[in-house]
Amino acid sequence: MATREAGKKMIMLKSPDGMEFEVEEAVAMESQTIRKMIEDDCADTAILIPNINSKILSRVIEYCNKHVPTTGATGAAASDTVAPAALAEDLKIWDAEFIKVNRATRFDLIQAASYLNIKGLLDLTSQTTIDTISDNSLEEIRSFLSTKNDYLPEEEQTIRRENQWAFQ
Amino acid sequence: MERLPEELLMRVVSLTSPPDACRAAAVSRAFRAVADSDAVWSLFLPRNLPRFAKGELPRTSPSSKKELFRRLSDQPALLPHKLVSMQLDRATGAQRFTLSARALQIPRCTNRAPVGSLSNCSKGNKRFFSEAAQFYRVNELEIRAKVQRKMLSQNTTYAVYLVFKLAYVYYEFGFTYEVASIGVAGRESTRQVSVQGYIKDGDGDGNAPQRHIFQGCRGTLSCDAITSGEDIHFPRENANGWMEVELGEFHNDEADDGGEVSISFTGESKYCLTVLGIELISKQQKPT
Repeated sequence: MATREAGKKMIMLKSPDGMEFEVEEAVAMESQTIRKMIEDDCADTAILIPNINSKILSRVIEYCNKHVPTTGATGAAASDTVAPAALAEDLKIWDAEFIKVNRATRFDLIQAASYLNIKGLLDLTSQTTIDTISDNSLEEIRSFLSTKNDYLPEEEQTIRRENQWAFQ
Repeated sequence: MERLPEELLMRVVSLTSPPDACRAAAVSRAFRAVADSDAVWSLFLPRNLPRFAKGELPRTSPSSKKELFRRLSDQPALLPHKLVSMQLDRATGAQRFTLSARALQIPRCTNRAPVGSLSNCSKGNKRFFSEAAQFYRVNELEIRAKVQRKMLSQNTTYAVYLVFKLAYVYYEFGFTYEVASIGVAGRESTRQVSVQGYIKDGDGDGNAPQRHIFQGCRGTLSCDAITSGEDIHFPRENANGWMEVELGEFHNDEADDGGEVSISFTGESKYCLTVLGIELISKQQKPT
Protein backbone atom coordinates (compact mmCIF):
# COMPACT_ATOMS: atom_id res chain seq x y z
CA MET A 1 0.00 0.00 0.00
CA ALA A 2 1.18 3.50 -0.75
CA THR A 3 2.37 5.64 2.11
CA ARG A 4 -0.05 8.44 2.96
CA GLU A 5 0.81 12.03 3.80
CA ALA A 6 3.78 12.42 6.06
CA GLY A 7 3.20 13.09 9.75
CA LYS A 8 0.25 10.74 10.09
CA LYS A 9 0.91 7.61 12.05
CA MET A 10 -0.25 4.50 10.24
CA ILE A 11 -1.43 1.23 11.75
CA MET A 12 -1.55 -2.17 10.06
CA LEU A 13 -4.69 -4.26 10.60
CA LYS A 14 -4.68 -7.93 9.60
CA SER A 15 -7.73 -10.08 8.98
CA PRO A 16 -7.63 -13.84 9.70
CA ASP A 17 -7.79 -14.57 5.96
CA GLY A 18 -4.41 -12.89 5.55
CA MET A 19 -5.33 -9.47 4.15
CA GLU A 20 -3.54 -6.42 5.52
CA PHE A 21 -5.04 -2.95 5.76
CA GLU A 22 -2.94 0.10 6.43
CA VAL A 23 -5.03 2.79 8.11
CA GLU A 24 -4.36 6.06 9.89
CA GLU A 25 -4.06 5.61 13.61
CA ALA A 26 -6.90 8.09 14.18
CA VAL A 27 -9.18 6.01 11.96
CA ALA A 28 -8.29 2.76 13.70
CA MET A 29 -8.92 4.40 17.06
CA GLU A 30 -12.60 4.87 16.19
CA SER A 31 -12.63 1.33 17.56
CA GLN A 32 -12.40 1.46 21.35
CA THR A 33 -10.94 -2.06 21.30
CA ILE A 34 -8.06 -1.03 19.00
CA ARG A 35 -7.64 2.27 20.85
CA LYS A 36 -7.05 0.34 24.04
CA MET A 37 -4.49 -1.92 22.35
CA ILE A 38 -2.63 1.11 20.98
CA GLU A 39 -2.75 2.95 24.29
CA ASP A 40 -1.52 -0.13 26.12
CA ASP A 41 1.32 -0.37 23.62
CA CYS A 42 0.28 -3.81 22.46
CA ALA A 43 0.31 -2.70 18.87
CA ASP A 44 3.90 -2.31 17.74
CA THR A 45 3.56 -3.93 14.38
CA ALA A 46 0.37 -5.30 12.89
CA ILE A 47 -2.83 -5.90 14.83
CA LEU A 48 -4.59 -9.15 14.08
CA ILE A 49 -8.37 -8.78 14.15
CA PRO A 50 -9.78 -12.24 14.87
CA ASN A 51 -13.18 -13.41 13.58
CA ILE A 52 -13.62 -10.57 11.11
CA ASN A 53 -12.96 -11.47 7.51
CA SER A 54 -11.37 -9.08 5.03
CA LYS A 55 -14.65 -8.25 3.30
CA ILE A 56 -16.26 -7.11 6.56
CA LEU A 57 -13.08 -5.50 7.90
CA SER A 58 -12.74 -3.39 4.78
CA ARG A 59 -16.32 -2.18 5.22
CA VAL A 60 -15.67 -1.38 8.87
CA ILE A 61 -12.57 0.62 7.88
CA GLU A 62 -14.65 2.40 5.23
CA TYR A 63 -17.11 3.38 7.99
CA CYS A 64 -14.36 4.58 10.35
CA ASN A 65 -12.69 6.58 7.57
CA LYS A 66 -15.94 8.42 6.99
CA HIS A 67 -16.68 8.97 10.67
CA VAL A 68 -13.27 9.93 12.01
CA PRO A 69 -13.45 13.55 13.26
CA THR A 70 -11.95 15.78 10.58
CA THR A 71 -8.85 17.38 12.00
CA GLY A 72 -5.50 18.33 10.53
CA ALA A 73 -4.73 20.29 7.37
CA THR A 74 -7.33 18.93 4.95
CA GLY A 75 -9.96 18.42 7.62
CA ALA A 76 -9.76 21.98 8.90
CA ALA A 77 -10.19 23.34 5.38
CA ALA A 78 -13.25 21.18 4.85
CA SER A 79 -14.98 22.19 8.06
CA ASP A 80 -14.29 25.88 7.33
CA THR A 81 -16.39 25.77 4.24
CA VAL A 82 -19.11 23.31 5.24
CA ALA A 83 -21.50 24.00 8.07
CA PRO A 84 -21.59 21.29 10.79
CA ALA A 85 -25.31 20.69 10.22
CA ALA A 86 -24.68 20.04 6.53
CA LEU A 87 -21.85 17.68 7.44
CA ALA A 88 -24.13 15.75 9.80
CA GLU A 89 -26.81 15.57 7.11
CA ASP A 90 -24.22 14.31 4.62
CA LEU A 91 -23.10 11.63 7.10
CA LYS A 92 -26.70 10.50 7.61
CA ILE A 93 -27.18 10.01 3.88
CA TRP A 94 -23.86 8.21 3.68
CA ASP A 95 -24.85 5.92 6.59
CA ALA A 96 -28.18 5.10 4.94
CA GLU A 97 -26.33 4.01 1.78
CA PHE A 98 -23.70 2.15 3.78
CA ILE A 99 -26.28 0.02 5.55
CA LYS A 100 -27.97 -1.14 2.34
CA VAL A 101 -26.49 -4.63 2.56
CA ASN A 102 -27.95 -8.11 2.77
CA ARG A 103 -28.90 -9.61 6.10
CA ALA A 104 -25.87 -11.88 6.47
CA THR A 105 -23.53 -8.93 5.95
CA ARG A 106 -25.51 -6.85 8.40
CA PHE A 107 -25.20 -9.48 11.11
CA ASP A 108 -21.47 -9.72 10.36
CA LEU A 109 -21.24 -5.95 10.72
CA ILE A 110 -23.14 -6.03 14.03
CA GLN A 111 -20.74 -8.64 15.38
CA ALA A 112 -17.71 -6.71 14.12
CA ALA A 113 -19.02 -3.43 15.59
CA SER A 114 -19.62 -5.20 18.88
CA TYR A 115 -16.19 -6.85 19.02
CA LEU A 116 -14.34 -3.72 17.91
CA ASN A 117 -16.56 -1.56 20.15
CA ILE A 118 -17.51 1.10 17.61
CA LYS A 119 -20.63 2.64 19.10
CA GLY A 120 -21.80 4.57 16.05
CA LEU A 121 -21.56 1.51 13.82
CA LEU A 122 -23.26 -0.70 16.41
CA ASP A 123 -26.16 1.75 16.72
CA LEU A 124 -26.44 2.03 12.95
CA THR A 125 -26.41 -1.72 12.33
CA SER A 126 -28.70 -2.56 15.28
CA GLN A 127 -31.37 -0.03 14.34
CA THR A 128 -32.90 -2.22 11.63
CA THR A 129 -33.17 -5.11 14.08
CA ILE A 130 -34.81 -2.81 16.66
CA ASP A 131 -37.26 -1.56 14.01
CA THR A 132 -37.99 -5.10 12.86
CA ILE A 133 -38.88 -6.25 16.37
CA SER A 134 -41.03 -3.15 16.96
CA ASP A 135 -42.90 -2.97 13.69
CA ASN A 136 -43.26 -6.43 12.21
CA SER A 137 -45.37 -9.54 12.71
CA LEU A 138 -43.89 -12.48 14.60
CA GLU A 139 -43.52 -14.34 11.30
CA GLU A 140 -41.50 -11.46 9.87
CA ILE A 141 -39.30 -11.27 12.97
CA ARG A 142 -38.63 -15.01 12.69
CA SER A 143 -37.69 -14.71 9.06
CA PHE A 144 -35.47 -11.68 9.76
CA LEU A 145 -33.62 -13.50 12.52
CA SER A 146 -33.64 -16.78 10.56
CA THR A 147 -35.12 -18.50 13.59
CA LYS A 148 -37.87 -21.13 13.61
CA ASN A 149 -41.01 -21.16 15.70
CA ASP A 150 -40.27 -24.16 17.91
CA TYR A 151 -43.38 -23.79 20.09
CA LEU A 152 -46.31 -26.16 19.99
CA PRO A 153 -49.43 -24.21 18.93
CA GLU A 154 -50.93 -24.39 22.45
CA GLU A 155 -47.62 -23.28 23.99
CA GLU A 156 -47.54 -20.25 21.75
CA GLN A 157 -51.12 -19.45 22.75
CA THR A 158 -50.18 -19.68 26.43
CA ILE A 159 -47.22 -17.36 25.98
CA ARG A 160 -49.34 -14.86 24.12
CA ARG A 161 -51.96 -15.00 26.87
CA GLU A 162 -49.35 -14.62 29.62
CA ASN A 163 -48.04 -11.50 27.92
CA GLN A 164 -51.43 -9.97 27.21
CA TRP A 165 -51.08 -7.63 30.22
CA ALA A 166 -48.57 -5.51 28.35
CA PHE A 167 -51.19 -4.42 25.84
CA GLN A 168 -54.02 -3.52 28.25
CA MET B 1 -30.30 -15.78 15.12
CA GLU B 2 -27.51 -17.98 16.46
CA ARG B 3 -25.19 -15.66 14.54
CA LEU B 4 -25.93 -12.83 16.96
CA PRO B 5 -24.58 -13.20 20.48
CA GLU B 6 -27.20 -13.21 23.22
CA GLU B 7 -25.95 -10.01 24.82
CA LEU B 8 -26.32 -8.17 21.51
CA LEU B 9 -29.89 -9.42 21.16
CA MET B 10 -30.60 -8.32 24.74
CA ARG B 11 -29.26 -4.87 23.94
CA VAL B 12 -31.47 -4.71 20.85
CA VAL B 13 -34.61 -5.84 22.70
CA SER B 14 -33.96 -3.37 25.54
CA LEU B 15 -34.00 -0.61 22.93
CA THR B 16 -37.54 -1.52 21.85
CA SER B 17 -40.39 -1.18 24.38
CA PRO B 18 -42.01 -3.33 27.09
CA PRO B 19 -44.96 -4.34 24.84
CA ASP B 20 -42.54 -5.17 22.00
CA ALA B 21 -40.49 -7.39 24.30
CA CYS B 22 -43.66 -9.15 25.52
CA ARG B 23 -44.80 -9.79 21.99
CA ALA B 24 -41.37 -11.03 20.94
CA ALA B 25 -41.43 -13.72 23.64
CA ALA B 26 -43.61 -15.73 21.26
CA VAL B 27 -41.00 -15.72 18.49
CA SER B 28 -39.18 -18.86 19.63
CA ARG B 29 -37.88 -20.55 22.77
CA ALA B 30 -34.40 -19.16 22.34
CA PHE B 31 -35.71 -15.66 21.70
CA ARG B 32 -37.98 -15.85 24.73
CA ALA B 33 -34.92 -16.41 26.91
CA VAL B 34 -33.67 -13.06 25.60
CA ALA B 35 -36.98 -11.18 25.65
CA ASP B 36 -37.82 -12.25 29.23
CA SER B 37 -34.31 -11.77 30.60
CA ASP B 38 -33.55 -9.65 33.64
CA ALA B 39 -30.89 -7.89 31.55
CA VAL B 40 -33.61 -6.53 29.25
CA TRP B 41 -36.22 -5.75 31.92
CA SER B 42 -33.83 -4.04 34.29
CA LEU B 43 -33.34 -1.51 31.49
CA PHE B 44 -37.11 -0.97 31.24
CA LEU B 45 -37.27 -0.41 35.01
CA PRO B 46 -36.11 2.93 36.45
CA ARG B 47 -32.41 3.13 37.33
CA ASN B 48 -33.27 3.01 40.98
CA LEU B 49 -36.55 2.28 42.71
CA PRO B 50 -37.80 3.99 45.87
CA ARG B 51 -38.60 2.08 49.03
CA PHE B 52 -42.21 0.95 49.10
CA ALA B 53 -44.65 0.70 52.01
CA LYS B 54 -44.96 -2.70 53.65
CA GLY B 55 -47.18 -5.08 51.77
CA GLU B 56 -47.08 -3.15 48.51
CA LEU B 57 -44.92 -5.72 46.81
CA PRO B 58 -45.70 -9.40 47.31
CA ARG B 59 -43.98 -10.85 50.37
CA THR B 60 -41.95 -13.10 48.15
CA SER B 61 -40.64 -10.31 45.98
CA PRO B 62 -41.24 -10.76 42.26
CA SER B 63 -39.09 -13.55 40.89
CA SER B 64 -38.01 -11.71 37.78
CA LYS B 65 -37.50 -8.11 36.69
CA LYS B 66 -40.31 -8.64 34.21
CA GLU B 67 -42.70 -9.65 37.03
CA LEU B 68 -41.60 -6.61 39.02
CA PHE B 69 -42.26 -4.37 36.02
CA ARG B 70 -45.68 -5.92 35.65
CA ARG B 71 -46.55 -5.31 39.30
CA LEU B 72 -45.38 -1.69 39.16
CA SER B 73 -47.24 -0.96 35.94
CA ASP B 74 -50.46 -2.74 36.99
CA GLN B 75 -51.33 -0.45 39.90
CA PRO B 76 -49.66 2.42 41.69
CA ALA B 77 -47.50 1.19 44.58
CA LEU B 78 -47.48 3.24 47.80
CA LEU B 79 -44.29 4.55 49.33
CA PRO B 80 -43.75 4.51 53.14
CA HIS B 81 -46.30 6.77 54.96
CA LYS B 82 -48.71 6.01 52.08
CA LEU B 83 -49.02 9.60 50.92
CA VAL B 84 -47.07 9.14 47.71
CA SER B 85 -47.39 6.46 45.07
CA MET B 86 -45.36 5.35 42.08
CA GLN B 87 -46.48 3.65 38.91
CA LEU B 88 -44.71 2.75 35.68
CA ASP B 89 -46.14 3.47 32.27
CA ARG B 90 -46.76 0.15 30.60
CA ALA B 91 -45.88 1.25 27.11
CA THR B 92 -42.71 3.19 27.88
CA GLY B 93 -41.60 2.43 31.44
CA ALA B 94 -41.86 6.13 32.37
CA GLN B 95 -42.13 6.65 36.11
CA ARG B 96 -45.11 8.51 37.59
CA PHE B 97 -45.01 9.66 41.20
CA THR B 98 -48.29 10.92 42.61
CA LEU B 99 -48.20 13.19 45.68
CA SER B 100 -51.63 12.95 47.26
CA ALA B 101 -53.42 16.05 48.54
CA ARG B 102 -52.37 15.06 52.06
CA ALA B 103 -48.72 15.12 51.02
CA LEU B 104 -49.01 18.80 50.02
CA GLN B 105 -48.62 21.84 52.21
CA ILE B 106 -51.78 23.86 51.70
CA PRO B 107 -52.08 26.45 54.46
CA ARG B 108 -55.40 27.94 53.35
CA CYS B 109 -57.18 24.80 52.33
CA THR B 110 -60.81 24.96 53.49
CA ASN B 111 -61.81 21.36 53.22
CA ARG B 112 -60.60 17.93 52.40
CA ALA B 113 -63.20 15.96 50.58
CA PRO B 114 -63.34 12.41 49.41
CA VAL B 115 -62.71 12.25 45.71
CA GLY B 116 -65.67 9.97 45.16
CA SER B 117 -68.10 12.70 46.01
CA LEU B 118 -66.46 15.14 43.65
CA SER B 119 -66.02 13.11 40.56
CA ASN B 120 -66.56 9.73 39.18
CA CYS B 121 -62.95 9.02 38.51
CA SER B 122 -62.34 5.56 39.84
CA LYS B 123 -62.46 3.23 36.90
CA GLY B 124 -62.76 -0.46 37.55
CA ASN B 125 -60.52 -1.45 40.40
CA LYS B 126 -57.80 1.13 39.72
CA ARG B 127 -56.36 2.68 42.83
CA PHE B 128 -56.56 6.40 43.35
CA PHE B 129 -55.85 8.55 46.32
CA SER B 130 -59.27 8.96 47.79
CA GLU B 131 -59.02 12.50 49.04
CA ALA B 132 -58.65 15.84 47.38
CA ALA B 133 -58.05 19.30 48.83
CA GLN B 134 -60.87 21.69 48.19
CA PHE B 135 -60.87 25.47 48.29
CA TYR B 136 -64.32 27.06 48.48
CA ARG B 137 -62.87 30.47 48.43
CA VAL B 138 -59.33 31.66 49.01
CA ASN B 139 -57.91 35.14 48.64
CA GLU B 140 -54.41 33.87 48.18
CA LEU B 141 -53.76 30.49 46.70
CA GLU B 142 -50.71 28.71 48.00
CA ILE B 143 -49.71 25.10 47.45
CA ARG B 144 -46.28 23.75 48.29
CA ALA B 145 -44.64 20.37 48.16
CA LYS B 146 -41.26 18.92 48.97
CA VAL B 147 -39.94 15.77 47.39
CA GLN B 148 -37.00 13.80 48.78
CA ARG B 149 -34.62 13.39 45.88
CA LYS B 150 -33.42 10.02 47.02
CA MET B 151 -36.75 8.45 46.02
CA LEU B 152 -36.29 9.65 42.42
CA SER B 153 -34.08 8.10 39.77
CA GLN B 154 -30.69 9.64 39.22
CA ASN B 155 -29.77 11.40 35.99
CA THR B 156 -33.41 11.61 35.06
CA THR B 157 -35.53 14.59 34.09
CA TYR B 158 -38.98 14.89 35.64
CA ALA B 159 -41.90 17.03 34.55
CA VAL B 160 -44.11 18.27 37.41
CA TYR B 161 -47.90 18.55 37.05
CA LEU B 162 -50.67 19.90 39.25
CA VAL B 163 -53.85 17.81 38.98
CA PHE B 164 -57.01 19.77 39.74
CA LYS B 165 -60.52 20.81 38.81
CA LEU B 166 -61.92 24.29 38.81
CA ALA B 167 -65.68 24.25 39.21
CA TYR B 168 -66.42 27.92 39.33
CA VAL B 169 -64.71 30.66 37.40
CA TYR B 170 -65.31 34.15 38.59
CA TYR B 171 -63.49 36.94 36.85
CA GLU B 172 -63.37 39.29 39.77
CA PHE B 173 -60.03 40.66 38.66
CA GLY B 174 -60.08 39.71 34.99
CA PHE B 175 -57.81 37.04 33.70
CA THR B 176 -55.25 35.94 36.25
CA TYR B 177 -52.38 33.54 36.24
CA GLU B 178 -50.47 31.70 38.89
CA VAL B 179 -46.74 31.38 39.43
CA ALA B 180 -45.20 27.93 39.57
CA SER B 181 -41.67 27.45 40.72
CA ILE B 182 -39.43 24.44 41.10
CA GLY B 183 -36.23 24.57 43.10
CA VAL B 184 -33.56 21.91 43.18
CA ALA B 185 -29.96 22.08 44.43
CA GLY B 186 -30.07 25.86 44.76
CA ARG B 187 -31.42 26.44 41.24
CA GLU B 188 -34.96 27.68 40.77
CA SER B 189 -37.08 27.84 37.65
CA THR B 190 -40.31 29.81 37.52
CA ARG B 191 -43.11 29.95 35.00
CA GLN B 192 -46.58 31.43 34.58
CA VAL B 193 -49.46 29.02 34.66
CA SER B 194 -53.21 29.57 34.43
CA VAL B 195 -55.98 27.38 35.78
CA GLN B 196 -58.59 29.59 34.10
CA GLY B 197 -58.27 28.02 30.70
CA TYR B 198 -57.19 24.84 29.00
CA ILE B 199 -55.66 23.45 25.87
CA LYS B 200 -57.53 21.11 23.64
CA ASP B 201 -55.65 19.16 21.01
CA GLY B 202 -56.61 19.66 17.38
CA ASP B 203 -59.29 17.46 15.89
CA GLY B 204 -56.75 15.21 14.23
CA ASP B 205 -56.69 17.00 10.89
CA GLY B 206 -53.29 18.43 11.67
CA ASN B 207 -54.84 21.35 13.52
CA ALA B 208 -52.66 22.84 16.21
CA PRO B 209 -53.80 22.55 19.83
CA GLN B 210 -56.19 25.36 20.71
CA ARG B 211 -56.26 27.45 23.84
CA HIS B 212 -59.61 27.98 25.48
CA ILE B 213 -60.65 30.10 28.39
CA PHE B 214 -63.34 28.95 30.79
CA GLN B 215 -66.52 30.93 30.60
CA GLY B 216 -67.02 32.66 33.91
CA CYS B 217 -70.14 32.30 35.98
CA ARG B 218 -70.24 36.03 36.22
CA GLY B 219 -68.67 37.80 33.29
CA THR B 220 -66.87 36.15 30.42
CA LEU B 221 -63.51 36.67 28.82
CA SER B 222 -62.22 35.88 25.39
CA CYS B 223 -58.78 34.64 24.52
CA ASP B 224 -57.89 38.25 23.71
CA ALA B 225 -57.76 38.85 27.43
CA ILE B 226 -54.36 37.19 27.46
CA THR B 227 -51.78 39.67 26.34
CA SER B 228 -50.07 38.11 23.41
CA GLY B 229 -46.43 37.40 24.02
CA GLU B 230 -47.08 36.37 27.58
CA ASP B 231 -45.86 32.85 27.99
CA ILE B 232 -48.56 31.21 30.08
CA HIS B 233 -48.89 27.45 30.42
CA PHE B 234 -52.37 25.97 30.23
CA PRO B 235 -53.69 22.64 31.49
CA ARG B 236 -55.00 19.71 29.49
CA GLU B 237 -57.75 17.35 30.52
CA ASN B 238 -56.58 13.82 31.35
CA ALA B 239 -58.42 10.57 30.69
CA ASN B 240 -60.10 10.71 34.11
CA GLY B 241 -61.57 14.16 33.65
CA TRP B 242 -59.03 16.02 35.77
CA MET B 243 -56.99 18.96 34.54
CA GLU B 244 -53.21 18.61 34.49
CA VAL B 245 -50.96 21.61 34.13
CA GLU B 246 -47.19 21.38 33.84
CA LEU B 247 -45.53 23.43 36.56
CA GLY B 248 -42.05 22.92 35.15
CA GLU B 249 -39.34 20.32 35.00
CA PHE B 250 -36.07 19.53 36.70
CA HIS B 251 -33.13 17.22 36.27
CA ASN B 252 -32.22 14.91 39.15
CA ASP B 253 -28.46 14.94 38.63
CA GLU B 254 -26.47 12.40 40.60
CA ALA B 255 -23.75 15.00 41.08
CA ASP B 256 -25.93 17.15 43.38
CA ASP B 257 -26.05 14.97 46.41
CA GLY B 258 -29.32 14.36 48.26
CA GLY B 259 -31.63 17.12 49.44
CA GLU B 260 -35.09 17.83 48.17
CA VAL B 261 -37.05 19.34 45.33
CA SER B 262 -39.33 22.18 46.37
CA ILE B 263 -42.41 22.88 44.33
CA SER B 264 -44.65 25.89 44.82
CA PHE B 265 -47.78 27.18 43.16
CA THR B 266 -49.11 30.56 44.20
CA GLY B 267 -51.73 32.94 42.90
CA GLU B 268 -54.72 35.15 43.55
CA SER B 269 -58.21 34.37 44.76
CA LYS B 270 -59.95 31.24 43.56
CA TYR B 271 -63.36 29.69 44.06
CA CYS B 272 -64.17 26.02 44.19
CA LEU B 273 -60.76 24.72 43.26
CA THR B 274 -60.20 21.04 43.94
CA VAL B 275 -56.63 19.76 43.98
CA LEU B 276 -56.09 16.02 43.66
CA GLY B 277 -52.33 16.14 43.94
CA ILE B 278 -49.04 16.75 42.21
CA GLU B 279 -47.46 14.33 39.76
CA LEU B 280 -43.85 13.88 38.74
CA ILE B 281 -43.39 12.05 35.47
CA SER B 282 -40.00 10.94 34.20
CA LYS B 283 -39.05 11.89 30.69
CA GLN B 284 -37.82 8.96 28.70
CA GLN B 285 -34.29 8.69 27.60
CA LYS B 286 -33.06 5.67 25.81
CA PRO B 287 -30.08 4.00 27.46
CA THR B 288 -26.92 4.46 25.44
